[in-house]
Amino acid sequence: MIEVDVTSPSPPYEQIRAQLAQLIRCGVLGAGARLPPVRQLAADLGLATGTVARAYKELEQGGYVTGKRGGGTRVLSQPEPGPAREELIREHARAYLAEVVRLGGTVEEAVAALTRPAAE
Amino acid sequence: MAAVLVLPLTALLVLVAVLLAVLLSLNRVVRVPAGGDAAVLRATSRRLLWPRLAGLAAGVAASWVVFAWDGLGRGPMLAAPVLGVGLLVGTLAGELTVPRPHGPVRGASLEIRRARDYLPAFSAPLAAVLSLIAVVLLTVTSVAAADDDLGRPGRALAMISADGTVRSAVGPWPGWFYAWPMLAVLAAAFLLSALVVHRVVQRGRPGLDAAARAVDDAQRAHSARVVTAAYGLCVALPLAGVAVVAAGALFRQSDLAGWAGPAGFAVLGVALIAVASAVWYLAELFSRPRIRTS
Repeated sequence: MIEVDVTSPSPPYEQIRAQLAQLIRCGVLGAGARLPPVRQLAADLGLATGTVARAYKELEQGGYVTGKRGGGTRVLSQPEPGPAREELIREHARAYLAEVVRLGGTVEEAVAALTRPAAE
Repeated sequence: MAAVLVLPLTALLVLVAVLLAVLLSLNRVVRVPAGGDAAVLRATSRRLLWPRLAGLAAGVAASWVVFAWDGLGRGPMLAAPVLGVGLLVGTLAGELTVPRPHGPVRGASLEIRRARDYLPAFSAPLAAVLSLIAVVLLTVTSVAAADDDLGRPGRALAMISADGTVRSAVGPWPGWFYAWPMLAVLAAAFLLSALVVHRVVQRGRPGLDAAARAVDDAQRAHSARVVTAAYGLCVALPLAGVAVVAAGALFRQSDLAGWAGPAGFAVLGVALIAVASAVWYLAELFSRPRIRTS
């Protein structure tokens, strides 16, 4: 899943590009996996088709995907594997815990705050 | 005499379709998890339903006009496809008015939606088979057709002897005179159906939680079923009429040509398949999935 914040200073196409690039680097989207059609992703995100098309074009220029007429956009195999998915999750968890501690919270409070929305 | 038979038969077939629709609706229960934004889902349902009903009403009105357009039978032949096209236009209008995702933060899954995920497994191939039968039948009847007594091309089935003398000519016969308007309307209905299905598949999802996705998928599948049923009626009803008319002409020529009798029965079989398909598609149109939260 990807998320776009239209109020963010980062333009929507860059947010899409960065999130997809991260998913490809950490192996969530493996070599050969197909990305959703441009029109479908644009409709799901409520964005213009050109915005998603630009993100795909930049991914293609960055060597992440290849686009063929009629064959869709497919993920290319990456020469150097990026950080593993687990490592990225640990990195985000460390950042979250650091923020909770900065606000005066404890590890138990941080875990409880995570499990509550997950159970809903 | 024919009208006396046709009206009760039509009423009986519509009744069968309604009963079948009730059975289909009872068996078509979609279980969705609790949750989701009920207001958004209700708004989407309304936006899909009202334009579809408006399209149906416009289609009925247009088919009424078309029915009386031609005294030579082309009006009744095109009435059903015109009604179907009205329904397809209404469905497309409904799909176009579904609200786009909005708000500052928007999410999308990386799923790939395809038409075959939503098209009904039985009705869609049946529509393709009926289309093929219609094209083949109209091609054969057009090739075999002759001019009628007033010189209109492709309106009669003539038995011609070796010396070129016309021994017998009967009509109406579904030659080119009837084939081209029917094939043109079917081509338009097919292209419109493809356009609506494309829109059904590509339009944005209203929400990403499991309940919203399940209801959205049920709505898309229902829209695809309506499109298939509308297109199926566009093909099946005129095909039934064409086959009955062709069978009648063949039976009247069976004294002069031995092959005409068996060919007449074969074409009558096509008419029966087309009528049964039309009843099925009508039932599909009347049925609605029942959405239950689990």
